[in-house]
Amino acid sequence: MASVVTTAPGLSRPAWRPAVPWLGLATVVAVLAIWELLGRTGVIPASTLPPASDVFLRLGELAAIPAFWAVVWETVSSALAGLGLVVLLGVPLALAIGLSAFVRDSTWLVLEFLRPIPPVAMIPLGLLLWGPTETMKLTLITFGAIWPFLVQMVDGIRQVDQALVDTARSYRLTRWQTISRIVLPSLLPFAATGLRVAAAIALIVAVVTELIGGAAGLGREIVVAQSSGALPQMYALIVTAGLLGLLTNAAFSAAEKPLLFWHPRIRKDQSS
Amino acid sequence: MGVLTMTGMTENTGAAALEVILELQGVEKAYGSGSTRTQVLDGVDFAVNRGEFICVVGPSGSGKTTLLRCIAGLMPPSGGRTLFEGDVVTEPPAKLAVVFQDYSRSLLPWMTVRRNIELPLKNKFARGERAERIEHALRSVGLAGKGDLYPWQMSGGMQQRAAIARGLAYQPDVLLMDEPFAAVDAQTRIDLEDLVLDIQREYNTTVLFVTHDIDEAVYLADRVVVLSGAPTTVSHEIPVDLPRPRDQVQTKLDPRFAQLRTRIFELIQNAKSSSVINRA
Ligand SMILES: Nc1ncnc2c1ncn2[C@@H]1O[C@H](COP(=O)(O)OP(=O)(O)O)[C@@H](O)[C@H]1O
Ligand SMILES: [Mg+2]
Repeated sequence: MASVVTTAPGLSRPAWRPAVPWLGLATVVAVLAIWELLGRTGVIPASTLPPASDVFLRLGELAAIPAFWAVVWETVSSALAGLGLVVLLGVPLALAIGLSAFVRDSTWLVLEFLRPIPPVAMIPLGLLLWGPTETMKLTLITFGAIWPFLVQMVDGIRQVDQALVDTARSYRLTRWQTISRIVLPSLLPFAATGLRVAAAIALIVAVVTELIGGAAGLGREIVVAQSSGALPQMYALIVTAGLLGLLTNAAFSAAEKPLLFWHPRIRKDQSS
Repeated sequence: MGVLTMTGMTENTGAAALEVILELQGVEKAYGSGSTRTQVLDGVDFAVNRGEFICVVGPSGSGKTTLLRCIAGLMPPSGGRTLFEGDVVTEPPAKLAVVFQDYSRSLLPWMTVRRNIELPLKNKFARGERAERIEHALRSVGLAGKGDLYPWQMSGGMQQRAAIARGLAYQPDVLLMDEPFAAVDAQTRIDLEDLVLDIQREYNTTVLFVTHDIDEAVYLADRVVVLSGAPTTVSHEIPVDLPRPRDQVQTKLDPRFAQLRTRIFELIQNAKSSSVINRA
């Protein structure tokens, strides 16, 4: 068909950009102010939620302690290692499912069964098998985070443009040229979306396995702080986990721009 | 290639012998199977001589793209065969290039226009020669100096020029074009038609041009192949005896132009009314 319509498959990001960027920041400041006020006036007792200033003061102190960063690194490194495994397992799996009807038909039921299981529900099994170890954590992270990546990649393989494949074939590109110049770049936006979601899940599962499963990292420190009544520290650690999430998102945005400069959505962001 | 290995020689017309470069023999194509099987092409026969400009016209859905994909070796026909320079086409021939209808999807958005043109040349020409060819092709289509733009930084007309430049730089013996100007505006379309005529003269390429636009077909072609309605066969081949070089004003004012387009229009109308689909 006559298509002047540009299709932009693969890259799902919030379609809106705030018109007034500082408004979001202002809200954060307002929430912190209310939090502070509620604490200082005693509406919320400090034994439940200490004032914001106490929490951020504690966070500042923690930032000066190398052991704090070691704990943060425990969590971050497991999430990263999990993401690595997601890619390592996900890419061949997606290729097999996306390219072979046999593999697709023989695996879909198992995958559809496994997919909705929350990774948290697997913690007891993980503990039984491996105890509160790095192996348990990594396995659960990978299990939890692989699905969005897999779904995106399989989708991406299915959506590789027939016009591009025809072009490659009619100009007799080699198999390697077709894969490296056409298939992989086509998949990149799907991989980016899949990984962005997977990264968020990996971080959550990492903290949860530490929290419930007792593996080393931020999650376990949160439990320790809570049971010893060190509330400012507990909240400081929770804030840290939140900041990690924000940082992950920022890192993905930064990485997407140079890699996907050609993608309609990114083009639009830059021109506006 | 020697004269003896040529597959088909049409009758000697005066001094120069015409060499058949592309020959379709009873090409059939059906999609689906069982009860959903539909016969799209039902034995298409025609031949293209070296250096000729052939237009294939047929209404939308008559199987023009299907035919072109069979000729290009992108899809096996379900019956019959295509000979390209005497060899049966089983895969895309090395000396054939295709310009697809959908320019916006056939150029790679992650590469500049220059790199888009260069990619197919990598297996064919050395680096130095590639650069020369690319610049020449870009100049030929009026995109000199625009090689470093990305396709999405260009208008539709420029993108289609880039796709044509890619085909040209590849230096094919036969250039297949599938309704290449269906999606551009009227003025751009006129410019691109003349561009293709100029290029065909300069490169002396054989062109097989598919279109649903009768005026366009008559304006461009040495010969118009008229397809019948579904299931499709060749209903007529109409030689276009209009003088060259063609001119958008003079040629279209020529009474002969009006006669030819009326004749082809009637043929297509008849084909439509006798097609199985319309009778059903
Ligand atoms: N891949 C396909 N599978 C099934 N039917 C197809 C396919 N491609 C085209 N057709 C059908 O074949 C007929 C001819 O299509 P096409 O060759 O695209 O015609 P045209 O290019 O002349 O518009 C149409 O009825 C179309 O629906
Ligand atoms: Mg078509």
